[in-house]
Amino acid sequence: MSQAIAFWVFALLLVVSALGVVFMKNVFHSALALIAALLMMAGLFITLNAEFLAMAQIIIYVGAIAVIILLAIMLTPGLSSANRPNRLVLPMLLLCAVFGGVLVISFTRTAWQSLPAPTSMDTSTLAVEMFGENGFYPVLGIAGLLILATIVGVIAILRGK
Amino acid sequence: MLGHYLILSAILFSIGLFGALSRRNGVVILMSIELMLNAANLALVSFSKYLVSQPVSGQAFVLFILVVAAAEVTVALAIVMEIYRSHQTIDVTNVDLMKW
Repeated sequence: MSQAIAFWVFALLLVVSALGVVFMKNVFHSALALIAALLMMAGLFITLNAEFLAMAQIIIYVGAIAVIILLAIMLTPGLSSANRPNRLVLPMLLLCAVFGGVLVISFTRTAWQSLPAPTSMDTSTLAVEMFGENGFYPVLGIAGLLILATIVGVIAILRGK
Repeated sequence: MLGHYLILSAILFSIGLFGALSRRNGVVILMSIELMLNAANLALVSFSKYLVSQPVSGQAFVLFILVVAAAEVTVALAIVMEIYRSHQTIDVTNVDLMKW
């Protein structure tokens, strides 16, 4: 019951702030709405028994990605402040409405065979999944390599001539 | 309950897709892409709670999506800064140097 209430509150605020990201006139306000949407997503993760992911979401998305976006908005003044649509608004609105409608219909028409009782899971199960036998730890090395390549690439792009 | 989460994820993805396709500002397009990634994360986590027998592999996927999203947004914002430095605009309709 309390999970349903939390879901509806977070879902409503999430949709409102996601619409704010797209439709706010000022880009800075869009970024603030993005932060709100990411926080609501962390709340939804908590309702799904994914507490570690919720904290990682807050630290990585709100703490790092949103701050980088705000920094980029600060460093591109003047012309960057307007969030204007391009010429394709109406066709794209139609396209996205059709796409979302098809997704919703296919999600509701599918007979999901859910588990009889949701199995208990917590952060230690996730840790076993990541670092245990047959875990994901080789992929973690690749992820570290990806971050290294990102750092080198960003320095190479922004170093100047 | 799984259906509710999936429908929310579909709505969020559609909003992000609309933003990415219909805005001029490069930073707003990036933020819309973040919304789409978050919608996919939500679907993965709800599947991993309600549908699969091995309960947390979806959460492990979401962790890697977080890493890739961080890398993607960092490189993309560096490119946006470089475009601003050379064109004095981040309106993507004006950046048409490689357009035929």
